[in-house]
Amino acid sequence: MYKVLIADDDRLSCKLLGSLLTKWGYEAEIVHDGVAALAKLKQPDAPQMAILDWMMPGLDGIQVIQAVRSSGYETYTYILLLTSKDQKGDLLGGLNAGADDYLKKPFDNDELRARVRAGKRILDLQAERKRGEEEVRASNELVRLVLDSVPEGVYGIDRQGNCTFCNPSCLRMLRYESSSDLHGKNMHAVMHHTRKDGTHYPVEECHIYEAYRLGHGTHIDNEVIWRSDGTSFAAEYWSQPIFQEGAKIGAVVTFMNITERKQVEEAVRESEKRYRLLFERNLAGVFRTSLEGRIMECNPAAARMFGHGSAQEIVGSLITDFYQTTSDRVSFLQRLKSERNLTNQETRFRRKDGDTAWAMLNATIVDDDSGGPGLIEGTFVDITERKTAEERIRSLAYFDALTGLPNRALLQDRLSQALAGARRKKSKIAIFFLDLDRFKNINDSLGHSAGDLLLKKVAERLKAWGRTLDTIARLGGDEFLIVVNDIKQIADAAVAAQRLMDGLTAEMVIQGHSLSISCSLGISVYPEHGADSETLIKHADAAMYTAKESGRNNFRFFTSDMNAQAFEHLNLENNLRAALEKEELYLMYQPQMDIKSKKIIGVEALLRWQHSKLGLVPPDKFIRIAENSGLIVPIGEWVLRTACSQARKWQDEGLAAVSVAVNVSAVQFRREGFSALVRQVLGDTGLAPQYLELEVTESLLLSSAEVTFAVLQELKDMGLSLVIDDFGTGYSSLSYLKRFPVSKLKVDRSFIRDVALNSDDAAITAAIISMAKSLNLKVIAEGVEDQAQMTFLRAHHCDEIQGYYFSKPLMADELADKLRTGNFESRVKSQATGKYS
Amino acid sequence: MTNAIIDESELLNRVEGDEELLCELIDMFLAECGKTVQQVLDAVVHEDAAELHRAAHKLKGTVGIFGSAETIQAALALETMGREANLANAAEASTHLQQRIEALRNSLVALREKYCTKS
Repeated sequence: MYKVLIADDDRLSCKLLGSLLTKWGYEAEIVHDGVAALAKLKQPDAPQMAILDWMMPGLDGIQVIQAVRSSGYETYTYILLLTSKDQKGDLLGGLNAGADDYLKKPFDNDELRARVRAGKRILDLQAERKRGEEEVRASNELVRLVLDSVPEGVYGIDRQGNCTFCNPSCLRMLRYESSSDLHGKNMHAVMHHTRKDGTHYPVEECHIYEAYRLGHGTHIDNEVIWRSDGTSFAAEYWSQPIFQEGAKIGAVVTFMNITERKQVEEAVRESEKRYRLLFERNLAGVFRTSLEGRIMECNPAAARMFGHGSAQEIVGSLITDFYQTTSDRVSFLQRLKSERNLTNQETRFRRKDGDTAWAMLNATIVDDDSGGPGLIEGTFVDITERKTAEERIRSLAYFDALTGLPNRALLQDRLSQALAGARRKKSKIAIFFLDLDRFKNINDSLGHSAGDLLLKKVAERLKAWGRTLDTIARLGGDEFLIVVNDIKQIADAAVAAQRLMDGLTAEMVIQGHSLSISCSLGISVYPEHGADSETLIKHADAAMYTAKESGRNNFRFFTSDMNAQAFEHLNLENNLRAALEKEELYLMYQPQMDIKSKKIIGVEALLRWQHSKLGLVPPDKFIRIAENSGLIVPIGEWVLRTACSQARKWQDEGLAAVSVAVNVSAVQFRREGFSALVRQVLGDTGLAPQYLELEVTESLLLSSAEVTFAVLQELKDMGLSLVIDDFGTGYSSLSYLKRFPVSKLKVDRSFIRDVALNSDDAAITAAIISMAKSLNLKVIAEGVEDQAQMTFLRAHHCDEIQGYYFSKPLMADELADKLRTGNFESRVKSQATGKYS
Repeated sequence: MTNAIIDESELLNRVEGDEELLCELIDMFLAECGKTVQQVLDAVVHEDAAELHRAAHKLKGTVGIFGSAETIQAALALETMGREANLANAAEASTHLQQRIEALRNSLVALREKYCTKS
């Protein structure tokens, strides 16, 4: 609402004018003389419009106008001169003095209204223009602020590509002092003249000008921009054409230095590439799944593990679908969720072709940093080969490697079951103890391999003879034991025995030699000849002995007068008891060689018994008696003491220090105070503990594991080494090896014998060695007899060997000689040797 | 006779039908015109041309509001005499002005009777 000053000395005129203007929507202010009028018009909120009467006391209207116009007040006052003069010259004089318009008195209402409205319109236009100017100024200021503060370089170019403006960042980045250095310059020539590779950059190809030429924005990620000092930097820039009234008038260019970003990107790319290669080439399977187990990503090794050609084939499927068993499937996700990670989980997978694969699996739940549900990451390695070997080793615990027949352990098992069944059903069982006649002659004359072939043939014939419900086992050597189930009467056993002998004695051709073979058979029957398996076997053995004594190639039932066996046992036991005193026992020492250094690093002490009348008694015969009678305890102590004292003696003689390995029987080991005994013997003989190795069997470790563990730990703490003997013939499990403080495995001679010929034996031996290595255990192979075995063992990184290839067992003084001269025989021996033979 | 001095509808038009404003203007005129007329008469008696010019001019403006052409003319004649400092016929002209003003007063009083009874 405009304010209008009315100045007139006539109060009635003032009143009328004021009232009318108020009615028309103006705010009227009234004064009655020129001085008051001028005062009002000088105020800060002065009226924008004034109606001044020409003739007034004090200052007249013209004087007031002149004063206002010459004062340079900021706001313009629109002035209407009110006059009753009507001479043209007077009116012009008023307008020349600075009045905007005039109004003659007495005035006409409509004219007054129109003239005031005209004034108002002019004031409106003025105000509008002023507002526009204000806005332009504010907006210019904002643009300047933005340009000054942005880190990017910004400049404008005209149609010719010459600089029209540039911001401080642009100057700083291009290293110019002031915008006048660039203003009007051709920017392509200034900063874009040469490409990254040093060649000329023609302006016609420049992407900055392209924006102008094409009329739309361009964005270039990586080009070189040159500074005033001739240096350059990698830049990313945007060029945007500017239009004015539809016509292109130039372009605005924004650019930034991306050197650092490029370096970071390069580093990230490099690291991603390395990671990718690690992922792609990894021999272990690597995968990433959702929490439900859906495969999001996996590497080629993982796909191969599942029997698929490529990772793409299995992405999207559930990893649990590849699990062989439901329990594995369920426990994988459940355990993972509760424990958050799984380590060394042995898992069975089903491959695409249906085969089973074993994997060692590690998996962990990875949380999502951005609060998502997270995922599962995991790796696995294929352990199928190791598992298969382990399985095979385990099966060997129950089967004879040569013939595939059940061995003594499985026989014991089957016989116990059969006896339990027979007791329940009140039926009879016959036990056949079978020994081939003159087998030793065949072995000696035709050789081992012929002997083995013969044994295999015999096994085949026995299998052909037996029924499925019978158990035919090989006890070792040429001894077989057969459990014949469900016989009605003792006579049935005789019929079966005769049939067996008829079948077995048929002529057979071995390696071109036609052989006829016979056997001696002893039979005991449950319940007539005994109630337990031990007695029944012993009695069958005694009957067989009788059959042999009475001319071979026949069978005998056990009778109570058949005490020959028992006599022999008793005889041997009494003799053995005396042997210690009579000093019929002695030790031999078989050297052990380090494969790498080819040096002798130890010996195994082997017990021998030279009876005055019986001659050399085979160890497998008298050791069993010693264990059953408890004589093993004093004999064992004697062996330990003798071996330690001998080892110390060699050292005292100035020979290279070697360790001595002593076999410890389970009976000895389980006796209270065993470790104290060892300590005492070491003290008495003065042998340092690191030169004593104790060899124990797998079965010993497995029975009453807690006691065993404690004793083993004591021995270990004492500083001596523990070796597992005959490894591979028992349970052969990694898990118990991990538990016990053992430091070496001795691979059983039965694997070594055909290691170079039989792929099963080779696989088992290799598996044992690799298992041992993974547990940080040393491996020694016994029974090494030829170069082929040696080559195999060396190739598979076996640590030590023992056997005829290197040296047969020696007497203490012989060994001392060898140690002194370092001269060992290393040729293949033709004769197989048992540990105690 | 009254109607000849003031065009009532023209006057109402001037105040845009605002009877209250009309009444105020009439009251102001009735209160003040005697003084202004006296100033004109005194100037004539004292033969003060400049004062006559000023007072007549002001009186002319005041009566102009009511649009009485004869009265304006009478005031203008005296104003011109004052400006030109020719007072030979001033006494006669002032008597005429007095009569015109008196007539105007009477007309305005009548108008006042008509429009302003309530106040």
